[in-house]
Amino acid sequence: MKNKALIIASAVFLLLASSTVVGYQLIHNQTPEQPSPAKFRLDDDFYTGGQLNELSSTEFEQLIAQQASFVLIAHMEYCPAETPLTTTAEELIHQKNYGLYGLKGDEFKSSSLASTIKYLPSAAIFRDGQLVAYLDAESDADIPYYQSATQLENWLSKYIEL
Amino acid sequence: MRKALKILSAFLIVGGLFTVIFFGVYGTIESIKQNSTDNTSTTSGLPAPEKTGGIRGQLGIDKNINESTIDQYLDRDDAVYRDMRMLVDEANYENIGGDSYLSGFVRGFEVIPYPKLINVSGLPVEVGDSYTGKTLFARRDNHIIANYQESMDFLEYYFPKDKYIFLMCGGGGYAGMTKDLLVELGWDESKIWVVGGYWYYEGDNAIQVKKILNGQTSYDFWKVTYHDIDFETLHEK
Repeated sequence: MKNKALIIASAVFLLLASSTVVGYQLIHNQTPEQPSPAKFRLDDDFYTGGQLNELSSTEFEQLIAQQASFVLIAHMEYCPAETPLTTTAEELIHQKNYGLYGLKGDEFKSSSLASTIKYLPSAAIFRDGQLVAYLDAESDADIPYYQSATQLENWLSKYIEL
Repeated sequence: MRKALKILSAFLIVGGLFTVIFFGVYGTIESIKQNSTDNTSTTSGLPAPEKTGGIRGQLGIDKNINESTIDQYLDRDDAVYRDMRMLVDEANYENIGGDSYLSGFVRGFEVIPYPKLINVSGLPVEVGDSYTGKTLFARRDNHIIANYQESMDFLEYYFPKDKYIFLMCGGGGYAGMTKDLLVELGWDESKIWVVGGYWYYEGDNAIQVKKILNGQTSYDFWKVTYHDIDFETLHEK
């Protein structure tokens, strides 16, 4: 009787130990599922602007202060990139008549955006003056968005109503 | 029978303990492996060259030795430091927010103009062409050929194969192209790091060249160790 209880207890212990370890590994390695962001509408000049409107850092900060909703291309393509982001953005503008803002090199460096986006070029989406998303120049996953107008639009469509 | 049951019990207890210990240790090791960036080269103590991700990685910029970390690797006797810009680039980088003038550099880096090593192509349209004059090398039918008898001597002198080589430029492009050129000509790629662009450098060893005084912009090029190439002194092949 005693031995039977000992065996059962041992088996339960083994089962519990294995379950705990396996369960911990599963939870620890699981990537939390990111909720899809709710899409929103940008300011009207995005949908009909039809050009890349270069800003100074002061003008950029004014847009933020005004809580504008817009897409910004921060660019400094100092050296050859496979396809400069500005070329991709210009192609998208030409295709869809979107109005984007641009922020060049040193203007970007002296803007508040430089404390968030480390490397250029990048595209950034703002909602009511808040940064919602941006392309990361060190992310392999973001490479396609730099290189094709269609892909850039696909990225935008994750966040904004097109 | 009792003995068998005792043995079985002991086995189950030991099995349970083993499971906990084994997977605990295994999980810890895996966790350390994932978090570890220790990928040191053989004897140098330097992390092996490894491209960063994204479009910066496409330029060849290194994940570990880059604009943010280069200060940790300066002043090595077993290394050379080369900035691949021109003092004044003929390309119009101002059009894309950059600077055609060498506005500053990292202490210890000597400047060698990449556009004079081999013709530059693929610049953004707004920038136009860089230097289009004579070059040490040319690319013909996917091969690199030397235009001068001294072409390889120049490279071997300024990029010695028995040293570690750190490359920078304005944004990382020329530096990446330099590594590609050297590797294609037989250099060991495991000894060359593309550090990236001075534009992103925020360390403690910036040497300022551009200055603005009374609203006038000027450049202290005398601060720069610049290895220009006088093609008139070279012998064409």
